[in-house]
Amino acid sequence: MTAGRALAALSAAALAIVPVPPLPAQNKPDDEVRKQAAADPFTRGDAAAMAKAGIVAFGPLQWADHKTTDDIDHVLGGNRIIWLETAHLRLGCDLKATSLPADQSQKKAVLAELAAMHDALPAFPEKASRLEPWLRAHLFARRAEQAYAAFQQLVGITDATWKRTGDHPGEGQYLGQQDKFLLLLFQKKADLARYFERFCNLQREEPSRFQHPDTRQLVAVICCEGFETLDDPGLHRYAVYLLMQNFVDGYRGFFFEVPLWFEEGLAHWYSRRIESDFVTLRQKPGEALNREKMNLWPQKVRQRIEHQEMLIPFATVTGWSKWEDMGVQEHLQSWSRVDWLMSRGSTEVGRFIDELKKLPPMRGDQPLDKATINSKQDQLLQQLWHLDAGSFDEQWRAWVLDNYPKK
Amino acid sequence: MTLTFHRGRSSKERLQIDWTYPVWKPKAAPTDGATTVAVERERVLPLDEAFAWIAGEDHRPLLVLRECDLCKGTDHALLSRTLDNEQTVLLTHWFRCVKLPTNVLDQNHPFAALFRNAQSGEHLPHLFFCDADGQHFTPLPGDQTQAELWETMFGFLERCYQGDAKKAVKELRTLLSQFDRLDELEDETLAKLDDELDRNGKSPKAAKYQADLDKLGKERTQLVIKEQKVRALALRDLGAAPAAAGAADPAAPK
Repeated sequence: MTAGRALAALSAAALAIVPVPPLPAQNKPDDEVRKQAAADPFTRGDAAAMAKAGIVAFGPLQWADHKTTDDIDHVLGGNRIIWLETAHLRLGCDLKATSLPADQSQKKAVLAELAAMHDALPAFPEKASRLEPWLRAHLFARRAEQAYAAFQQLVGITDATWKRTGDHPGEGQYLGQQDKFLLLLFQKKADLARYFERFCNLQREEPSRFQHPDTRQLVAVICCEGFETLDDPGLHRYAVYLLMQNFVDGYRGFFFEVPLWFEEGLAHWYSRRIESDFVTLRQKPGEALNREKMNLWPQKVRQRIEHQEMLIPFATVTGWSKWEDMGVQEHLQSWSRVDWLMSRGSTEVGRFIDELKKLPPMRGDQPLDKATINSKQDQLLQQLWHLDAGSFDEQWRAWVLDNYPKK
Repeated sequence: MTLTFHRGRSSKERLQIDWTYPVWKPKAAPTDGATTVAVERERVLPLDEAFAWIAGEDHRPLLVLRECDLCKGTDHALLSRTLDNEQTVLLTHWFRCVKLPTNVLDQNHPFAALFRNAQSGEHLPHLFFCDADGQHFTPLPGDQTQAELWETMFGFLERCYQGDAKKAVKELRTLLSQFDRLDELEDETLAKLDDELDRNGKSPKAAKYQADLDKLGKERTQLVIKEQKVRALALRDLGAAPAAAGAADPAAPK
């Protein structure tokens, strides 16, 4: 077995959220995961109902590296995790029941999701005051598939494009991957840590992404414990953020890492379409930040780059390769650069990814170096948008000043 | 006027139990050169091996807690729902804190011997304390009083460490309040700096805020050094346990 790959920018430290110790005087009732009903109460395993709900199968399932979900249950404890398989993903959900968001707009968004699910399969409640574990599992299955569909649309492909046998890495039917993408949503940090330790040989206690070495599948793993405000919309946003990065990495095979600014920017762009107060970025030590305003990204970017010296030049941006290279401003400005590119048409952004990922995995007998990847990036920026580093900075800034609100 | 009291982020970091979550993993051993490997089969580990596995290289005494689906939250077996838990959490820093899954009670679980070892009559303990090699095994039911818990913890600390843990905890709590003050000042200044950079870019005012932050940073460094001394005072030289002191110090400067 080769070593698995823990991915760059893998842990999204969520800034809004300070890890919470289970500290003084806990008067609240149980907040642990509740025991689940063994069978799905909505489809009851009926094939027609499952098809309407977008479910291909329930656990036990094949997972990754020739392990099954039974193997995972064996380590984490049985009858706790809800296992679902959709057309393009497999999910494990061990989320507690939660109430609808208090914020009216966020609540409306969740209710709209429920209504759509109800339309597809009337067994789903049209409205609910509380999201029970099975309902949450279905919600996240649907959300993950929606993210997948959004990525397919971006790069201009359909399932038919990739209906190949998948004999070669990068030519499989799941965006080029040979097996399905994976998403694990845990309530408890302990489950996340044990999964990484046992199945990834990785010591990690924060939400992360990982590529399983044998089947090369990409997994995104999130736990809610430790985050003060990781409510349902927050978890939705976080999941989309990590899934989008996995889709970019997995697209046409994961042979090299695409420029960090772009991958982060794109993941933020999609995840920020989910209404939430949860923010996925990292504050560098000592980095200036007004926490009350940290979800106001358009305003923040505009205010900053109104001052020319606060704009991070593309020449600097393109040099980032590690998660640690990026702090609040780096994330915000990356998101905004992608926002601008998307505003000019998503087709070109899709082509940018597609062409970039067509780079051959090796150069001679060496893996691709960053210079080669950056060179291709620069060529594509020129080809698709007629941009070089200077004009990218200049035109993006002008667009921000014209389009983002001041306050 | 209502007075509210919140711990700042530095204190919150320090007031978390540093759990480890050991899992059994098979070790692959080559059998005929490079091509064939024998993978170790999962089995119930003998008690000494189970202790060795969960203790790892860490020679601090062990605090071992099992999760439970039937209980009202795992940590409640250790932390009070109604009383202040700060002292409990601070004391855990001198232990290797191990959390095991609910199925550790299954008879075939690799670590099953740990709790089987603890069974007395009908009742299985929720947690236990012991030395790294399993000696001085002290089970607790999970519904013990905070006083009973502290008595057990201090008992281990007095035996395994030099120095006065009670005094150290008291001093640490004072330091936490100082961290709170620093956090408040720092967050306030960071917010001001952020707003100033938004408004005027790299202005003289921004430079002043930055200087204030640098000053607070120096103060923080001093505080961290002080904290390390307080923690180190309570640590006993365990001879064969060189990693224990460092491992017990989650508050080291990052």
